[in-house]
Amino acid sequence: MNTPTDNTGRLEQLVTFARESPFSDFYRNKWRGEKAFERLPHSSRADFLAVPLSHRRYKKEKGMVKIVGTGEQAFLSEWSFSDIGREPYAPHSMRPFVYLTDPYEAVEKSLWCYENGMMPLVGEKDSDMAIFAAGRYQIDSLIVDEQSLAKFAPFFSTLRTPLASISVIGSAFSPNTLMSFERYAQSIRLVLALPETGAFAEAPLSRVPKFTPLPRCHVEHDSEIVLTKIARYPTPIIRYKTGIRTTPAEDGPSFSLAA
Amino acid sequence: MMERSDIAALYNQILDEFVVHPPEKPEDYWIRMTSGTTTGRPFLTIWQKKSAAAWPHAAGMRRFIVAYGLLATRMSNVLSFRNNPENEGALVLPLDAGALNPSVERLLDDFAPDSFYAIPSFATRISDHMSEQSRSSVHTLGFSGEPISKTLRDLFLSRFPKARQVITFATSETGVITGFPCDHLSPNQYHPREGVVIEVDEPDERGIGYLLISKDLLFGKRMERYRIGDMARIVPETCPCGQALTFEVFGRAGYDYIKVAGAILRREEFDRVASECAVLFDDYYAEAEAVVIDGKLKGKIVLTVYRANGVASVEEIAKEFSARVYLTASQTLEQLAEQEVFLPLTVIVSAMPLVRDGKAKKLSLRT
Repeated sequence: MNTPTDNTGRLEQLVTFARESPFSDFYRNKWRGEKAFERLPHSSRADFLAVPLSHRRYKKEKGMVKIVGTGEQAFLSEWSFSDIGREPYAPHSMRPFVYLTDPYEAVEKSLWCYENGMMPLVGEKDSDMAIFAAGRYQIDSLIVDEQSLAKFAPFFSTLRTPLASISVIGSAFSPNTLMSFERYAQSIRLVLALPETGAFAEAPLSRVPKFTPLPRCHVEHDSEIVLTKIARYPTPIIRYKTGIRTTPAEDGPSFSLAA
Repeated sequence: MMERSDIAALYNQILDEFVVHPPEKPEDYWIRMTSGTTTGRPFLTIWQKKSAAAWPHAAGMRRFIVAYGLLATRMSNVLSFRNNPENEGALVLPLDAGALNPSVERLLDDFAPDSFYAIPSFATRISDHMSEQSRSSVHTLGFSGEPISKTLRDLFLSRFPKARQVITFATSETGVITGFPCDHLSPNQYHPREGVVIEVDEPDERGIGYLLISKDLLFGKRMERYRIGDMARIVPETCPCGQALTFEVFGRAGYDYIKVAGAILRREEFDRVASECAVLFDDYYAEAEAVVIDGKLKGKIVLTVYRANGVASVEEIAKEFSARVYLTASQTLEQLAEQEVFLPLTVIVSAMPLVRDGKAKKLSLRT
């Protein structure tokens, strides 16, 4: 497991914050007195599903709630507007276009743009409408997921100059497919994220992308990524099993996604 | 008078100005596309951040649900919520229709909403999935985007007994044009917002005509007497609240309010009769047109119905519906058919649930 020593103090502070919180017993109940960070029991989607948001809320700050998952597997995830703004989803641009399959992610990433001084255009589900709107707005960057990027492909044939950036957000990627879009942007970033955790690693597009953990993200490689975000979210992410399997680099914090 | 093409040209100029000379703080603006579902090709509109004064009813909204079909409309309301300085610590859930299944009840109980801003038809669907406890905690229901009938208001009153209903009039091209409603207004009546001028063009004998809107837009542009496609009248009586002007909206020309063969077909009236015929069918869609038969202009209505259990009597539905629905102030379709002003009602039973694009269209004019 990778445990960067410079995170140790901040991890302890986060754990203390969660353990001593007057607002929620969620992590206290989970950890049952365990003190050492590396032995804290993992949390996962199953825990978020089992415990209502109102019982795992560690701070009260103005923000947005979204539904993650569908049907019986759905749970609520809460993000303050300021926390949304601190996520490193994309580079700054003049006229970003947000085109995401999940409507909650579309609203949240649009809010991210506002929190970072940009006026985004959010793309509606219908790809013809989205392409028309993007062309009229003369977008210079795209925040997208892989599924939406495929639907948006006809837009690129209308471009006279490449976009400044394309940020592809998701938990799995098909690099060979994405490589076909390489010429349409000066840079294409792959952003590893889950709706309930936010972004935690990024990689420039290549045939075998090498992901680097983002600042404030403590990434452990077990059979899957176990993630801790060093941030006091409404529901903090502490030793959270992401379900994402990786191949860590032999040295350094970077990793690739397992096939 | 401006038509849609004039407004589209105005907004295109605004957009071009924004692109060429972006403002110092672009985050103070928001951009959206019009839906274009009823009036043709969409276009982009840009607005400046709403001030808190535009949302006086937002104070006290601690757990706020926004429920609209278009992402752009959801976004604009989430932004207004975000920009309101009076609701620190409050939360917004921009609910998507895809979440409406039986399991959403526990999530809505968990979120514990106290207020909504929604399109009425979406709000009824949400309420189908809320527990009684959850519904009883809602104190404000804000609506826009569809006319709201008395039947619907009564339904919301029964499902949300503690909620005040606040109805605003807004379109993607005009933005919100109404101020906060006083307590004296009847359903679908409004006072215009400051800076908005309301007129009615070509009023008929009841004063109902085409709604015209004038207001300032960005970068010195002005919407002048824009005919937005809704029917309205100026209410002649002075409102007890003292506001100078009250106007009443009757819905989209050709969809909620149709003139055919000298009669007026109102969706609200069709909804009322459909409610009375609930034992005969579960959903309906009516299409009206003027036809020429033997050289005479007559009205024709085709009523398509759906019955979940598949059992529906065409003859009985035609008889009951015709006898109950008023197409003039004093005459039903049955009476107008006897006078041969209208053809007898045609009823079609659909084997499939009725699906309609965009907003809940129940009535349309076949042209």
